[in-house]
Amino acid sequence: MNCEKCQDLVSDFLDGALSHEDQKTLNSHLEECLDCADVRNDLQSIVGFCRSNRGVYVAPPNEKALWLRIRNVIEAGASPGMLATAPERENVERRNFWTNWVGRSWELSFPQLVAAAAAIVLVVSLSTVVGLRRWQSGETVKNNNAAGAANLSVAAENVRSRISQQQQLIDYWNQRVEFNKARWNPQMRETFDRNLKVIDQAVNDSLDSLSQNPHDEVSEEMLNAALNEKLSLLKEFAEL
Amino acid sequence: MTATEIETQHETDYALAQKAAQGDMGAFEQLYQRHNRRVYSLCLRMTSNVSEAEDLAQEVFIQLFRKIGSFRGESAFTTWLHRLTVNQVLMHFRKRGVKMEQTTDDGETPIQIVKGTENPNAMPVVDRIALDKAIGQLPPGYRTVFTLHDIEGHEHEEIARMLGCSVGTSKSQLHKARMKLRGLLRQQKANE
Amino acid sequence: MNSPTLMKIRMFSARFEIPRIHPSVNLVLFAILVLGALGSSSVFAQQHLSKRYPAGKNVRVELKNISGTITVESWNRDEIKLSATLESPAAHLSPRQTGEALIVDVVADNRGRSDVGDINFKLQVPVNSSVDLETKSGQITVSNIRGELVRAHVSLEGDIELIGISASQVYAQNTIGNIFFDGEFARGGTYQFQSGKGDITIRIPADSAFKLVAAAPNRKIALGGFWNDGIKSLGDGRKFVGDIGEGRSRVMVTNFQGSITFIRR
Repeated sequence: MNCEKCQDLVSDFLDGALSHEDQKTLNSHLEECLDCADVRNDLQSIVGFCRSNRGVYVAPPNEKALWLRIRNVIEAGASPGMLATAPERENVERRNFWTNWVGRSWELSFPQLVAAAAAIVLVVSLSTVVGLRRWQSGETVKNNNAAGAANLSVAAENVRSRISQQQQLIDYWNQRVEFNKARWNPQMRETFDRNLKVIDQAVNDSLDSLSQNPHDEVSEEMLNAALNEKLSLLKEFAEL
Repeated sequence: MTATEIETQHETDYALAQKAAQGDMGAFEQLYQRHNRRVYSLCLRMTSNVSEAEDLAQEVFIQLFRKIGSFRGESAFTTWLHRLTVNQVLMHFRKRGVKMEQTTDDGETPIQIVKGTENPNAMPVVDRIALDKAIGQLPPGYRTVFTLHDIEGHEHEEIARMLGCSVGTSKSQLHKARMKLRGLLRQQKANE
Repeated sequence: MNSPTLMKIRMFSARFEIPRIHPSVNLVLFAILVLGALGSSSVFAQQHLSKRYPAGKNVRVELKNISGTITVESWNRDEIKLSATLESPAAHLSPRQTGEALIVDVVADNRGRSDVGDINFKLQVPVNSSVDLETKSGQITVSNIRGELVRAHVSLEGDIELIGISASQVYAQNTIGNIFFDGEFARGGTYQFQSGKGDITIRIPADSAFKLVAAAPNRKIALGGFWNDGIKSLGDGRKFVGDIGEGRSRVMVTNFQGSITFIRR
């Protein structure tokens, strides 16, 4: 067997698709030929690595934002009866409950406020004055039922972890933009900064309203849209 | 975690799919949560492009919602979704005019036969980052077959069906993809 | 770059030396003067470029600009006319035609260049063209197009005006600037409008039928005559979702800080 024939058969060999005869001839060539043995070893480690990593998946950059985009498209194309999503139905029910019992003005719990405030501090250095004010007003309504509170803090925690995930990406692209920015003409720099502020404002507005109600899906959606917008702007200008 | 959330965790994909087919977005969201990583990973591996993969994953779930009523539970939901994903990516390749000539029987590029290694034993230990980088440098046709066979574990017969090529083509593309990857990984090592 | 200075020197010398030199030298000096003036104008003024491309009935134009205005209008010919005014420092511009598409990618053609002047484009295209337009900043105006796709993307600021549009896919997006759409929604079409800060106005026939998702956190969403009881208001009027008529087209409008207004034509 020559090297050409041998290297042609290596893949079949690794996949267990060689006849007994071919396998024998191949093995005897591999024992003599170091080059072909190298090829076999290399392919074996590639294939082996892939097999051992089967079922290891990567998450999309922002799972929740992707979901919201999908849902938006579906909602826009779904039949009317399909439009009320389960969480929205829950919201409506909960709202009715609270409208009856404590009025519409506050649906806040103490842990919810803490978690939401933490989310804000982590992502943007938003003024703590707002958070403190909310915190204090939260004291008056903290006797919410325990299950509701836990549920709310899970929601806040989800927002927090998603934002921090997205923030890492934003930081990365921001660095690249900053690196290139010096080369742009001053007018482009100015325009870019001015526009990024608009997006940041949208992010902050959504965070502010999420700090009041972590279950507010519209704010969550706007937050995700704004963060995505920021990310795609940064990506685009990192290439400029 | 709420009682509803705990309850739905034990529901089968099929049960969730049936609910989603009735317009239950909560059930569909559950399916998304269970499978989005798998779908996205496949898209990412086949395209080697984060934003393309994200857009494709989005399209896959939109298509899934539209077609979910036709899932009868004869095969595993994951298999069904997997096929939907592959089809979506292949359709995207076709739309974008990506040349898949590497998956046809014609005009195959010959593999260079390795003679006298310039840097013996230079094959680096394969790791995720190096491999992903090398996969990204493969021509789309090679990448598709390699992803489907070695990463996703499909048989050549299945791949041939999905790509509309012969089993022989699928096999030879896979071999070429592996050889090309080997070269790329060695090159990466040499450039370090 | 220094030609105005050179020119002044030449003028000065010409004025004072003429009486002492031969007439033929005069002529040479005059020629130099004229050439100098021409040279200086090419450096400082705009450059104009105009080219025609043969085109079928259904062409696609893809244009990626960095900065400057883009104006696209239809005309009655089976060809594309591309006119561009390039401010200095003039950008490289190498439009290419592949099959049914004309592709102009200023971003790619000038990659690595730190400073590139604005380019103002004007395109005249067959009425059934698809147009895919992008710019980092600058106004985009598209009028009277009935192709498959109309996409106007201003990454930063610039108004977008899409007038007399009948396409099955329309995408308009900017960060700062107004978006104005005046056209119709085709059955089965997709229409997306997004702005960061600016007003989005959509002017469509009174009998338009579509599925709507519109979101504006400041609650400035005015559906006007398109409002009906089946439309759901979410988040206290920050988002509206619902059907208008029986149409199958999908309309998604998002405005982070500005308003969304629907007007019946």
